[in-house]
Amino acid sequence: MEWVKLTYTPLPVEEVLRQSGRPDCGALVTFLGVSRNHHKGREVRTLFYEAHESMAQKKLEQVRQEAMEKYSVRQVFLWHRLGEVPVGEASLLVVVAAPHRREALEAVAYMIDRIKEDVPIWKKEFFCDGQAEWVEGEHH
Amino acid sequence: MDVKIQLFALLREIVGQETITLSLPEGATGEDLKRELTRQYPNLKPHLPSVRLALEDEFYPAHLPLPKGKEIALIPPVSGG
Repeated sequence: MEWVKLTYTPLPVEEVLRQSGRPDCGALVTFLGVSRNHHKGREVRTLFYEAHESMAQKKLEQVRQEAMEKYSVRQVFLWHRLGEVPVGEASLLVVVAAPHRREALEAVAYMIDRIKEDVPIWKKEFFCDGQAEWVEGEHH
Repeated sequence: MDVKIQLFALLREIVGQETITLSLPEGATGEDLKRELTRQYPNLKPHLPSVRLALEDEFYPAHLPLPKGKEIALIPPVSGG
């Protein structure tokens, strides 16, 4: 099981969790980013994720490395789903094992922030009214 | 020199292609590339200022000259996670 992966299939959350955790880690934090049914007041039917795949893989690995160095956590899984991700399904899986909860929680938050800064993945929302829009990322 | 450009997301939809090739003078920078792109595809104009360049899977500063023979990816503001 890879630490970092992009996949077009549903994220294998249970499988990743089965491989997670270590006896020296008292904290195991799991984050799922889930497709939401609304965006700025509009009802969303489904979401679609596109990536510059080779660069996204590399940047996700960098983000994982940064988090492990900055927060001294022991184990990190970082998986992102691409293609269509229907409402209620997960697009992002982050699992962190660390001796204590503080660094685990902070590492998770850090990685999500970094993904939203520098990982070349884009989300398109398909609304129930028939329209579709690429989500405007934060400008640099 | 011919510069091959990889497009994603909204940029790809506006241009209608995944890759395009631009002819640029040697020593042209990312900023020059954006200017030429705007000339050929005026609909890209509002989106290009916030676009970053990438080369060989890393961000590449727009003020630097573009290396010959390398593919450039245009990275709009990201929205994953």
